[in-house]
Amino acid sequence: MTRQNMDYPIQSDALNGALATVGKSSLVARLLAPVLNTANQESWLEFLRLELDPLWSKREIKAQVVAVVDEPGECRSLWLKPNALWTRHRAGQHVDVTLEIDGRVLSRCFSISSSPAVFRQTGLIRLTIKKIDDGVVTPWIHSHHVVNKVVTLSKPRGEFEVQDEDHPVVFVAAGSGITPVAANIDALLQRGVKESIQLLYIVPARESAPLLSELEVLAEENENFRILLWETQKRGRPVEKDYKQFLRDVCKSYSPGKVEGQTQPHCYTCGPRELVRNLQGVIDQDFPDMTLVSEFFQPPQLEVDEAGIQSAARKIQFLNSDKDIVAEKSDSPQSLLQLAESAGLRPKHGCRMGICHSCKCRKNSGVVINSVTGERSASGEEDIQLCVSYPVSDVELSI
Amino acid sequence: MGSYNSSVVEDIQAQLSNNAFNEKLTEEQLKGLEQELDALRQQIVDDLGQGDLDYIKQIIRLNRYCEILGRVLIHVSLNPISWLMGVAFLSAAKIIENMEIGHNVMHGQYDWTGDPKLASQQYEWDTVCDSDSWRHTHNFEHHTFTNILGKDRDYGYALLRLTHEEEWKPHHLIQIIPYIGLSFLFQWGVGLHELEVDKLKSGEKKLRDKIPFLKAFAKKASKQVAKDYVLFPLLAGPMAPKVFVGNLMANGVRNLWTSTVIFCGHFTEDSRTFTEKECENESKGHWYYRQILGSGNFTGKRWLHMMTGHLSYQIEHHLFPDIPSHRYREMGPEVERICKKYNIPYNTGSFSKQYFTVLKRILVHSFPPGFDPGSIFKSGNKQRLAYGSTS
Repeated sequence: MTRQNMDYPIQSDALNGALATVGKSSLVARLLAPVLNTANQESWLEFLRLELDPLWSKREIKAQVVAVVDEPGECRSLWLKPNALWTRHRAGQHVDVTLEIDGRVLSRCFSISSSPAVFRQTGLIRLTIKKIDDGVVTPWIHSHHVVNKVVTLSKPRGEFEVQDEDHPVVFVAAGSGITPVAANIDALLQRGVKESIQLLYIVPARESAPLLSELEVLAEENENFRILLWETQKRGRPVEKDYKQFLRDVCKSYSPGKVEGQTQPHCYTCGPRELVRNLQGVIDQDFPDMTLVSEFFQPPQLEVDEAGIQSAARKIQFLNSDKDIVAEKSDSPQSLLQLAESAGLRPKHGCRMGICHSCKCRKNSGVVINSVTGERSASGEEDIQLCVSYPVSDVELSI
Repeated sequence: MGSYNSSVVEDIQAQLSNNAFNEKLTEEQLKGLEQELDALRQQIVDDLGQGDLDYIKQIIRLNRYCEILGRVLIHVSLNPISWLMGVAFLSAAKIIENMEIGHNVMHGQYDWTGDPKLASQQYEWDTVCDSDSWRHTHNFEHHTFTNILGKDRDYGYALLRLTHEEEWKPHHLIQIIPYIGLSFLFQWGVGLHELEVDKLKSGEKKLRDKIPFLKAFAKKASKQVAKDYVLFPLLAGPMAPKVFVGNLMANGVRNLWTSTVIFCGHFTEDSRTFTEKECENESKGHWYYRQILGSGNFTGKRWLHMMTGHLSYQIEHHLFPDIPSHRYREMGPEVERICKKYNIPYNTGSFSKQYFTVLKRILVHSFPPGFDPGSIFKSGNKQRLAYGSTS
C-alpha cells in the first residue's frame, strides 16, 4: 500500500490559486465586480486596505517574514506571520510562496517545518529552505535581508500527515527531506502520542543536518521518540540491505515476542527519488503489510545538447483537446505552434514571430526555449508564446 | 467607404517597386539594421528588473488614486470648480489606465514579470472595446501590417482618406466632420473596429460571421455603460445628473486625447504607407524599416510621455511593442542614432507641430489628387523631414 505525492520545486497554480481561491469577497463587491472592471485589479476597498497595511488583504494570504534563522546544511528558516486568511495547516503540508525577485513574480513550493501546534501558540509558521545553487529563488532568499518582507502564500496543501495515532510510526528522511517530517514529529509529540516514533535521518554529516538540534531536544524530552542518525560521509549511502536491517530492528524493538508482520509500523519517507525507490523495494519485498507514505521533490530529467533545442523526440500533449504529437529529433525543429498545427489544432495566433503575443497560452509542465530571447523556461506552469517556443522536454499545454 | 481602386493601386505598386523604398537600403544594410535594433532590444531586455515592475505599480497606484479622487469629487462636489476637478481627475485616470497601463500591458510588456495582474492575455481595460478584439485588431493586424494599405485597417479607420493612393470620392470633401466625430467617440470607433463596416457594405464580409464579435462587444460595452451612466449616477441619488454628465465628459476628454495622440503616431505628413507587394516575404530588417517610416514621434516632458502611454515614442513602440514603454525614453536616442547611420528619416517634432501636419494631411486628402489646397496651410516647416534629429 503506497501513497505518493509528487511535487516539483516549481509549483504551479500558486499564481492563479493564490489570487482566486482564497477569501470570499463581500456580497456587494461580488455584485459590483462585473460592472467595476476589477477583473485584473483588486477592488477599491482591497486597494485601499493594502495601501494602509500590506498584510490587510481579503483576497490573498499575505504573510510577513518576522525572523530568519540560519540552519546547518545550507538551510535557512523563515518564520512567517500570515494574515487572517491563513487556514490552519496540517503537519507535513507544503505551501507555495510567491514573491518578487528582481521584478519577477516567482512562486516556489516549500514544506512547512513547524507543527500546527506552534501556529496555535504563536500565530507563526516556519519554512526551512535549502539553498539550491543553480536556482533563482533559494539563493536569493539566502543572500538577502528578507525580514519584514511580505510574501503571498497559497493554501497549505499535501497529504503527509500522520493520522493514525494508535500505531507506531517510523520516519525515513534524507537532507532537507526532514522538513515535513520534523513538523509531523513535533505534532505527534505535542499531542502526547505514546506510540513509538523512530526517525532514520540520513545526512552527509552531523554538522550539516538541518533541524537536528531541535529534534534531539525532543528526543531527550520524550522517551518514545528515538533518532538514528546516518552520516553518509562515514558510512556511505544506505543501500537496500541497510533499510531492511533498520526496519527489522524497528519492528523487533516494539514487540520482541511477536511474529513479524503483526506490529508493523507505518512508514513515512521524504527525500530524493532514489531513497524512496529503495525503500519501496524493500517494503514490497519484505514488509508487504507495511504502509509507506512518501513525498519527494525533484524536477523532471532533461537531456539537452548544446544547440539546446531538439536533441531527442519530445512528446507534446494538448490537454484541453486530448491530443498529442511527438516532435521528432530534427535539425530544423518546429515551434510549439507548428507542432500544434501538425496535430490538427488551430490555436489562436497572430504574427508568428513573437511580437503580438496573440498565441500566448498556458504551459502546464515541461521546459521550453524561447527563440527570441534564448531564455529557458522553468518546468512549472506558466504562460508561453507558442510561435517562438521550442520544446526541450516533454511538454503539456492547455490547448 | 474607403475602398481602393485596384488599377490605381497596381500602378503605384509598379512604380514603387521600381524606386524609392527598397533602393534606399540594400539587403546588407537591412541586415545591419536588424542586427543593431535586435542588439538594442536585447540590451534593454537584459536590464529589465525591479525598477520596471515598480514603475508600472506606481502608475497603477496613480491611476487608482486619480479615479477614486475623481469619482468622489464628482459625487460630493459643492461647486462647479470642484466638480470640474473631479472630471479632470477621472479623465486623467481613464487616460492613464487606457494608455500607459492597458495598452502596454496588453502588448505583453510586463508578461516577463509573471504578475497575474499584468498578464497580457487576461487584462481587461476601462473602455467599451473588448480586450480580445483589441488584441486581434491592434496587436496583430495593426502592429504586423503597419501602414500597409488594405491590410492595416487602422490606416484612416476606413473612414478617412489620408493618401492619394486611395481613390477620391466626393464624400471625402467633408471628411473633417467624421474625423471630429471619431475623435469624440473614439472608444466606440475602436470598440467596433472589428465589425469592418466597410467590408460589410461591400459584401466582402457577412454580418452573420460577426455575431460572436458583436456579442462580446455588447457584453463589454453594456458593462461600461452600466458603470459610468447607471451605477455611479444612481449612487448619487438626486445628484445623478451631475454624475452622469461628469462621467460623460471624462469619457469624452479621454476619447479626444487618445484619438489625437494616436493620429500623431501614423498620420503625420511624413508617415509613409506601403503596398502589400512591397512587403511580400519581407525580412525582419525590412519590417523594422517599415515600422520606422510608418510612425512618428513627438517630443515633450516626462509627464506628457506618460500621459500618452509613451506613444509619443511611436517609432520605438512599433519597433519594440513588448518592451516596457517607459524604456522608450532611453531607447529613443539610440534608435535615432541608428537611423542616422542608415540614412533613414526619423520623424519627430513637437506635439503641436506633429498634430498640425495631421490636420493638414486630413484636409489635403479631402480633395482629389492634383488639387492643391496646400497654399492655405504653408507653414514654413520645410526642414521637417531632415534625416536624424529635428528639434
